[in-house]
Amino acid sequence: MSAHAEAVHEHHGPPEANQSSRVDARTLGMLLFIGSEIMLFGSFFAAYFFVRVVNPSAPAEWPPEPYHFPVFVAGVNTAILVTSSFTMHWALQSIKRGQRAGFLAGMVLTFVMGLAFLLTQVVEYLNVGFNTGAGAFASVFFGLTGLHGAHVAIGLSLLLMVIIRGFRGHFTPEHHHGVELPGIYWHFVDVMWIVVYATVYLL
Amino acid sequence: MTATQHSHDVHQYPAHFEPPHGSTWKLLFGPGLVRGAWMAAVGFVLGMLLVLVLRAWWSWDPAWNTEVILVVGGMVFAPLGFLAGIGSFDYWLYYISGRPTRPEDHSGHGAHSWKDYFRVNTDHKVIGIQYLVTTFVFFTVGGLMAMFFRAELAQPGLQFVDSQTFNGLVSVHATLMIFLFIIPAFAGLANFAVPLMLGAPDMAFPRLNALSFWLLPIAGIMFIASFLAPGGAFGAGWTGYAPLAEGQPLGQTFFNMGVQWAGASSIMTALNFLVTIITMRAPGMTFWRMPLLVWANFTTSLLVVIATPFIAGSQFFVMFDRIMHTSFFTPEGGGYVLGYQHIFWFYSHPAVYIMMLPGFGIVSEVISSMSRKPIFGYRLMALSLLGILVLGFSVWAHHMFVAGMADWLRVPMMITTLLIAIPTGIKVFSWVATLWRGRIHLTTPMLFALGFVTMFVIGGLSGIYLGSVPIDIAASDTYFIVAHIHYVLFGGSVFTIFAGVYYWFPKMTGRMYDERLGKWHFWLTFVSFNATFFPMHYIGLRGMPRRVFDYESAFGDMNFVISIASFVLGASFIVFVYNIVTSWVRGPIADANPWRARTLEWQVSSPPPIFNFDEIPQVVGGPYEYGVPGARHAVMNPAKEAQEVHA
Repeated sequence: MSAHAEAVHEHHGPPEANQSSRVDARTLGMLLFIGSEIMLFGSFFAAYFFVRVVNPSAPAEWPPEPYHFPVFVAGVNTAILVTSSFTMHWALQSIKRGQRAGFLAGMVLTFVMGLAFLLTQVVEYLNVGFNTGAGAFASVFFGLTGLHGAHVAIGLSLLLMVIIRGFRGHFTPEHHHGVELPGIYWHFVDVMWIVVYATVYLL
Repeated sequence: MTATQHSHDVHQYPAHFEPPHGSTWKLLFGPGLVRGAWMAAVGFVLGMLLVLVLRAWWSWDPAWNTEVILVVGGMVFAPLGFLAGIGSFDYWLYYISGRPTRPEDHSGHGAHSWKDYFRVNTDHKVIGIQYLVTTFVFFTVGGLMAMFFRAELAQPGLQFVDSQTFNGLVSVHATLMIFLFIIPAFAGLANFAVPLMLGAPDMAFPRLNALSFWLLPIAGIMFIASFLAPGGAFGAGWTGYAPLAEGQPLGQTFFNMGVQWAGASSIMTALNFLVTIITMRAPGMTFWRMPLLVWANFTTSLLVVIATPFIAGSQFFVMFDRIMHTSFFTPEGGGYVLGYQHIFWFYSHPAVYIMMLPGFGIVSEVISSMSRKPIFGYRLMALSLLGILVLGFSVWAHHMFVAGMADWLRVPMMITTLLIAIPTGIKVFSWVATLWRGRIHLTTPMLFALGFVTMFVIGGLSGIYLGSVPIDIAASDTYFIVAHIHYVLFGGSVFTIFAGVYYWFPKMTGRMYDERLGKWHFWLTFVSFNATFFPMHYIGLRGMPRRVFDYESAFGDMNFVISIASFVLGASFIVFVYNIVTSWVRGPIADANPWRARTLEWQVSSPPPIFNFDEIPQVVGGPYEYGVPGARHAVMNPAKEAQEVHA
């Protein structure tokens, strides 16, 4: 059901609320939620900072011998996720212009790439050579990548929702809020991954 | 649209509503507490199977791990099942599955009988009352725990409980009071008042609002249920310091996860308040015309959205350390112990302002309308809230002066801590200046507001002592701290909650409370509160440590007096409950505006109409222009639309 029809329908109930800001309520809600999510990541980065930088007994080599992080595989994975941000943008632009085929193709591509990212990460976990009990470096490795993985999973379910509704023709050039908001979230997940990748694997 | 129009005060389902299948079917499979109960059980079984299957698949031995199953099944899947069962997700599931959403028929909006308070309701006024009643239930439970351990502390030695139970009682008491009473009770009062004050028909996201209420009982039940866990309730205090918390029995997990649910609830509510305040103000309601309660909740919500994820993180780390053998805070694995306190207090210091700023807002409303004067220094009152918000993020390490953290961090943290006295002082000064030459009406809410100002000054002054490094080193972990926190949280926050409940009681229920009983309640509370907590300053400075079940016999007499006073304090709450319950049932009918206040919620009927306003009012001036000739806060439009609907 489109936002417009909803507004019309609701009119017989409550009086129409005054819109006192140029910002759309749902977009603002999503942005504030993302702000809160950034702080959640912030607490995990703080834990990383404490065990690696502040801790006087932190190992000189990171990760300590004989472990190492799969920098290359994760790099390829980064490329996949960054690309998916572009396809997401393409999908949104397409529905804004009313190009249904481009919209659906973009959404499906985004979803497939997100899924590929997540599966690669699962395979990486299984072959990384250490588990959560291997020490503080493993704690922050699994903590940050796992937290991010959970967000990819949430993002994927939002994308799936858009795809289902997209194939049923629920979005039009006028009403594409249901694409835009998951899109904003997906871009956030991507950008956050770049930070996580740089911190955990490269630094 | 006209076909489905229905009168606001007659409870009937519109034509397109699904026909009921028969009462048993509806009871079992319709949204409600019954479906919530069985879906919670199903959720638990699903979570348990998920853990068992995964552990068996990876051939971990043993496949059965009680703590993991408890976390995944009992504290994630079962609550989600409950929420799905009571119908929190129904609308969204329709949307997600791609079916056309059922048009909002407002059947889940507003309360027509007491039963409507026990289901998912999208009306902010109903949710506000749900919040308040729930939080007062948990207040009672937490208070009874305090009575219990005060009985234990009445004389030295162990009388009634063992040490772990004592620690559990203290920890659960603090946890319930903070996460299940003060923070959500403010959310409840604000939920009721803020949309009305803004001239909005409801919150920005009514369904999210309903969901965030229902997360709350889940957290509360988790905290209390920890007493049933083998080994007893979590006993590491409400601060749950690592690595102490990591060696606690199973009950600690209940704390780790309960905090997540309570935190999620307050983040969602805060987000909702922020969006409502930014996007749904009535025409003419600029930021500088908003009542101070709205300002207070605006700043509080910013604090919640920014800070609360940090306590979520800190509890996740402790839980991972406990069940996944990580070493965030265990030195053996290379973890950093002090990291916990930094992350925890980065939330929990701003949290004391989360527990205080809404109270500032309530008191500003009450003092201004009860002394019939404009609030003194309105803009500075709002700006000082923002000042506290900013400074509040830069003071967390003053909780750690004796924790062994970096020495250079002490003095900067001391300076920022003492700086907070400036915006807080501005507020106290402005309240007193508002009272100056006002026509003061000593009603019950006003008594509580004045009680708050005096008690908060005492708590604030001991806060300044404790903010100074040398005094803090001497007084750390003594009863001086207990006295300080109760002066700011009981004499401060709880008094403002009482003030708010009495102030908005006629608006919420349409009935007036008993003024005589209200005054009895205030004086009993005020006197016994001081008799309980003031001597704690003294025994604290004499060296009695806090969080102990046994103590030096020299402190015996003083503790006996404190315990007796605390029982009177507990008994004074009975007066409140009796007053509220009897007045709600058969109190005299209240006027729409018994306090002759200016803010918008008093310009509609008591209780307010189901959608608050027939037409959104036009705001033309400030909210506190008492005694200013010709000043108006808002112009209420004639109820045009309502006439059409009823015709």
